[in-house]
Amino acid sequence: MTEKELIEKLSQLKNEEPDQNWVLFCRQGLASKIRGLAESQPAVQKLNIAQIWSFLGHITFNKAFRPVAAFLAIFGLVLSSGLFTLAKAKDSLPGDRLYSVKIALEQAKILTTTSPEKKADLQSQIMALRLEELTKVVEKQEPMNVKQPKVEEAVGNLQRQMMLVKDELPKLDNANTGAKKKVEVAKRIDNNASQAEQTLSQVRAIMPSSETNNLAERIAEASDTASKTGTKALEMMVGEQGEAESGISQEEIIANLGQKIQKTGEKIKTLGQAVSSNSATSSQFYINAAIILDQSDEALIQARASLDKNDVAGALETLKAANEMVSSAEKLVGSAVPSEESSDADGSTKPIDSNASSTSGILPQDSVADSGQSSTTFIIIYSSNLNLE
Amino acid sequence: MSTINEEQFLELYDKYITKIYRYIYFRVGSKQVAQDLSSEVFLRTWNYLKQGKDIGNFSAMVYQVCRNIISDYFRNISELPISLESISEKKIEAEGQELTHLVEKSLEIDKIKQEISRIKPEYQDLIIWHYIEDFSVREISEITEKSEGSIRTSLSRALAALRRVMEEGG
Repeated sequence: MTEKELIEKLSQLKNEEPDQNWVLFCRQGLASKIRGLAESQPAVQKLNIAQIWSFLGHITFNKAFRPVAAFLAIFGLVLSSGLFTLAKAKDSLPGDRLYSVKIALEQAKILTTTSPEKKADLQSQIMALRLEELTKVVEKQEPMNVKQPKVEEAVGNLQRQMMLVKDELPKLDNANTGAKKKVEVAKRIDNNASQAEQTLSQVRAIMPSSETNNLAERIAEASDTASKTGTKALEMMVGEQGEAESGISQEEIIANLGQKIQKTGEKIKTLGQAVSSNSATSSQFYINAAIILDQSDEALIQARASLDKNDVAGALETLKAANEMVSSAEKLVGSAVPSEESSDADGSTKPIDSNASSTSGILPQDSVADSGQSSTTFIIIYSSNLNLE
Repeated sequence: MSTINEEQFLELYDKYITKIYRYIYFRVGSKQVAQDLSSEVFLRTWNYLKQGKDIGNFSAMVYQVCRNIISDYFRNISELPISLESISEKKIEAEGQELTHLVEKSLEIDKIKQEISRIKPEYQDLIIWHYIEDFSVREISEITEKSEGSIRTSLSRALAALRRVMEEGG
């Protein structure tokens, strides 16, 4: 055998992959164990210029542009385009020609903002804008093949913006920001994150997903980020509560935490229904999802118990663990669930009701009822991986 | 990389788990054992990181942890990971049915795995890292803390050793 033939044979082994089910399950177990082993320190994130400049890539600027050069380009755009163009850009949506101008102007504003609390506030306002854009794009009367990529883009933009917002929070700790200001910013971020979760849940229910697009996956990722952003904001409030003039009481925090626990409980219930109502419950994906949901349910019980004893920090940590588990279970169910059509062929979709209660679910309720699938009992194999003590 | 939180660590898990699993699987020959040891690798790596030690290169560090765990594993067992008997059993079963292209391919892959396990452990590492995981010589040098020249020489010897074993095996 020649060396070349041997190397060719060896390259066949590259196809060996671990079972994806196990990968998710192992991740879940690891997350639980490391939470039990060590305290987590919030990461001090450096401002990731790459994240900001990725938006400028939309207007075909060279990635090597440095901030000064970018300012010149943006000011040049302002001078040549005129005020009318800028006004039009402000109302543009994903897919519109002037949308990238809108993004570029936002980025310029962020770069000129130096104070950490103003920057965090600004990022939070931009997050609200991204949310508004998503709502408008979904409600626009357009054929689905035109609307779908715009919705995907809007969800992606929202996701990225939420991550930027999440990254800004630890910087408030490093700066000499007063407790009151920190709490104000954190409350706004938490509010926006909560709105984002609600909106994403509704978008998931009314937009179709299929094997040819990544919409369901993007929505799940964005929902997860929204949940984490809200939790991070709450963590900041918990940290500042007790400081003089923080502007937040223990009762407020307990109420907020209670709402988040309830929301997670609703997600677990909906996912549990999706698992039990699917006839293919012999699938390993569903079995593992059921095990993880069982554990996350136990974690929530513990979180509630901690909250009843006014152990806010303990309840928050356990809630974070439960959210990680729910996220893993969602991925498992998402890997197993077939695509469902849930809107009309001409692209008309129901309007998003921002005041409606959250109805997070993997499958639209109609499709579950209409599927004609009877619920199937399955054996839950209890895993002792989780150490919640 | 000096400090890391849980979220960042889990992102590293997502990035490395497939490669780590694959490396361990080719070394130990059992999927179940590879799963258990892979999980152990990440847990041990986390413990190490939380001691506050500064690590230059996460990839190099995690593979060093892998090697230690694999060594510990082999100290406790004596049987070969993939036995020639199990390969012949498969062949007999396949001959009793229709021998398809897929079965042939599966047997061939099993054989290569078996042959890899017959060469020296250091050579096994080099073969897996360079020819299967596409690590560069520089990356392997960072893991093993040996010079790139030494790695190149060892790679050449590893491939020669594997060829010999495969030719002997038939």
